[in-house]
Amino acid sequence: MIQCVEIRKNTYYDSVALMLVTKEIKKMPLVRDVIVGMGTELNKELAENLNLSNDQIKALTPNDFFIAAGLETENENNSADIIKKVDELINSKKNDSKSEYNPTSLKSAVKYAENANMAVISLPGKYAADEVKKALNNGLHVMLFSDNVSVEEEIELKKLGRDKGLLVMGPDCGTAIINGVPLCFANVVRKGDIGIVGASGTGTQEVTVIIDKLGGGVSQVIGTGGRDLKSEVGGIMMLEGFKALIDDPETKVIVLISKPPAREVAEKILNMVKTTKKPVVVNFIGGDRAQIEGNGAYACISLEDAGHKAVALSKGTSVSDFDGFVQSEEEINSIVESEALKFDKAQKYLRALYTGGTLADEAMKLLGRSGYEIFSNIPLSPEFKLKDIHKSIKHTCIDLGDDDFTLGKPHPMIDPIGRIERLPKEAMDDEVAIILMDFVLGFGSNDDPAGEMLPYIIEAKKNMESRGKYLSVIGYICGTEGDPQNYRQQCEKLENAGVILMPSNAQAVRLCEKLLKRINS
Amino acid sequence: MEISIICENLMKAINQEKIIIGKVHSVFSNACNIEAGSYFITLLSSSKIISPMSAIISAKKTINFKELGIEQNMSFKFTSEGIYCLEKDIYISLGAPMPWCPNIINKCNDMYTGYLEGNLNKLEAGLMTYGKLQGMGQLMTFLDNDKREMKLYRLWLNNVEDNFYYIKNEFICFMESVIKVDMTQIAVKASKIIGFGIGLTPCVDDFISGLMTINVCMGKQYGVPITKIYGFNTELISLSTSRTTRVSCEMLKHSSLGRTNSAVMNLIQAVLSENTEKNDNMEKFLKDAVNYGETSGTDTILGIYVGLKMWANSNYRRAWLNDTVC
Repeated sequence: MIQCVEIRKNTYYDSVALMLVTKEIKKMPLVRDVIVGMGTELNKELAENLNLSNDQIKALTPNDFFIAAGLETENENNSADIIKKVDELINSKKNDSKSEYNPTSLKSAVKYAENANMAVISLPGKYAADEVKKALNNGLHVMLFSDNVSVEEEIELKKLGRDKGLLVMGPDCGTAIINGVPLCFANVVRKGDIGIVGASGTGTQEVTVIIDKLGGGVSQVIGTGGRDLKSEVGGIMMLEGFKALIDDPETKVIVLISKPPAREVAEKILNMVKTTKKPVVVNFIGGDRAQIEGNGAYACISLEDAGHKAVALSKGTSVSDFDGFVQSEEEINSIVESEALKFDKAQKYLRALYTGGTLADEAMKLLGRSGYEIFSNIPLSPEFKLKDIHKSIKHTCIDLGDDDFTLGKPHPMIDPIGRIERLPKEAMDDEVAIILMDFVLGFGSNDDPAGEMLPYIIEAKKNMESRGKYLSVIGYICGTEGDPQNYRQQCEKLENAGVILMPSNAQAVRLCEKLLKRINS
Repeated sequence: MEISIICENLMKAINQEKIIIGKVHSVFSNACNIEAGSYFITLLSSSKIISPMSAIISAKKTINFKELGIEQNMSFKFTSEGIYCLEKDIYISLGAPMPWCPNIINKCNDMYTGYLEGNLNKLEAGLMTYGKLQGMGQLMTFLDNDKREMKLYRLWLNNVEDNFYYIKNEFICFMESVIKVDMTQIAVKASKIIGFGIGLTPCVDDFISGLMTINVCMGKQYGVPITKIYGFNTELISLSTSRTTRVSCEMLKHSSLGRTNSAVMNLIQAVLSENTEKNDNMEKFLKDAVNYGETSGTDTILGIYVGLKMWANSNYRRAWLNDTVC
């Protein structure tokens, strides 16, 4: 390995700067390894272990500072760039000086950011409710990312918010876009006249992404948290958000998204549809179509369909169910035939590994309607609950973002380790034919969802091939061209590895359905 | 400019020696370290917390030592009237500063361990919320794997950096020697990990500093002779002081005798004496301590946390108490 070594004898830098140097140098192209620190015996041993040592480093004392970086290629410029970067970072004013103030309490944050009107709170659930109360009492709207907040606390906070005319988005609210500002997990979508209130994170993301793809835009995206439409909470924030969009002059079309609410809550919400002339699209995923349409709203058959209907209403074009494919029937049949021919006779099952819970839920509902029995950790019926959530059987759809998989660990949309570990297990099963996966882009998500999974997808396919089988991998990227992860590059990476990408979750599921039908025919 | 708060030990040294002359070892915006023979003295701006052998300077505007033009190797003279930087013609009067005692053992009489279990849970939650776990936090994963009874699983990190794998085994061996209070092995085991990490006080050193400080507190609580505690702590660092930076070496020496900075001291007192269901001081002190350095504060608190977990475990405690039932 080629080295770049910089030694500064009897020189001391504060640890804030050194941590920054380590992080930033590691990110530089062609840098494989880096060690930054004082010349203590252990640090020198570590440098030796990483093949980054030389005689100069061995001669250092603990009071000498050094950086040793391992480079992919030999180039004077690389070394010079690294040293230049180190000096820039060390000399930058980004330290604990007075000019950078990090408030340590809500009180001081409110004083410091006088014009703030929203607090985003992400604390362990045990501590969250108190902070939300403080925020509301300071006149701030709240987005509460935390889960493990009790129902009683949620009700109390939402009532307090409602009485003060403030939003309480959450608990367990992961997605919102307020006045064009994406909060927590959200995609970069066009500004427009479609307002959304959503009780489900990735469901809301899917609808906003479809709206953007169809040329529409969003005015506001208000999250409510997953429990809002249960009978105890009574849909407090769904109703408040709905009211806010009714009153918002920039919103011309309203979309409501949730899993099926409690009956009395659905009634309250649908009764409000009659109070507005604005068209309302309601996707109670798998909910009662007749009830929705009976109250004057537009019912949907999928999240994608909600997006289609919203854009049609926004543009004033005709509204109809979208339940097909963007590609022609010929193209779809060609994909199906081409994949089906490659399978071994024993291969017949689908394994869907989702990071987005609502997308998993939608997949199971769509497949369920066609008569497929899907086992899951979040099954539609108790008899399909997996006995061991770490072991798939028959057709299985896993929500890797569910609490059982994320206790003490980051959400799979941030860190895909759960899916990375699961995929090889599925590829060891000789009866598996199809793997279905989502890749969620946008703020808050992993920097490179496709890239992280890529080597494991390739490995899984090779593994199957070595046993005379074929693994069909179907994917959906929930993202827009504006997202920070570079949507096109994400698509390219996956397609080059043989992943069949579909333009929506619903279409990806429908393709799986067609393929399963073909396999079993 | 004048000294507003001064460590008692520094004041004592100045009064004893009459004049102490030293040279600047290292300068930062808010701190200046001075080597004066066997003394290692730190001058701090008013934005920093007081620590052993240090003094806080107050002035109309918060001091910035770099802006004052202080550089390495400049001379400083300490007398009972004041502190002089000879090259820069800077004078800081000593006046009547508030004395501060760095010894945690002096605060131990007021401690009550009845709330310890609940407070440990709060401390853990606070570490997960406010802690910068990218230093020693990474080794907690390995420690939990090896010592399940300590129940450190909530501090698990999914991605441990490769560098930390390098000392994983040595760290576990060291912890075993700590648990067994192994006087014959502790120095060697510690010498294999002290000095590991970036920064003037490498992360392992900060962790060990927290561990040793808690040994002093909890030893006193459980009636372990203080000579035994000091003996173990000083043996722990005996082979390592030349293997780490001067700043860290001083910190380790102080910690071995239960001397620590005010943020850590306040936190330990809160954990060991407060009913934190009624007061939220512990969270405030935790945040103050975490904000010390980059990961230094968190690493020290992790040492305290792990130390407390060990002392709270009756099986581990036996090693200190020579099998006396407590």
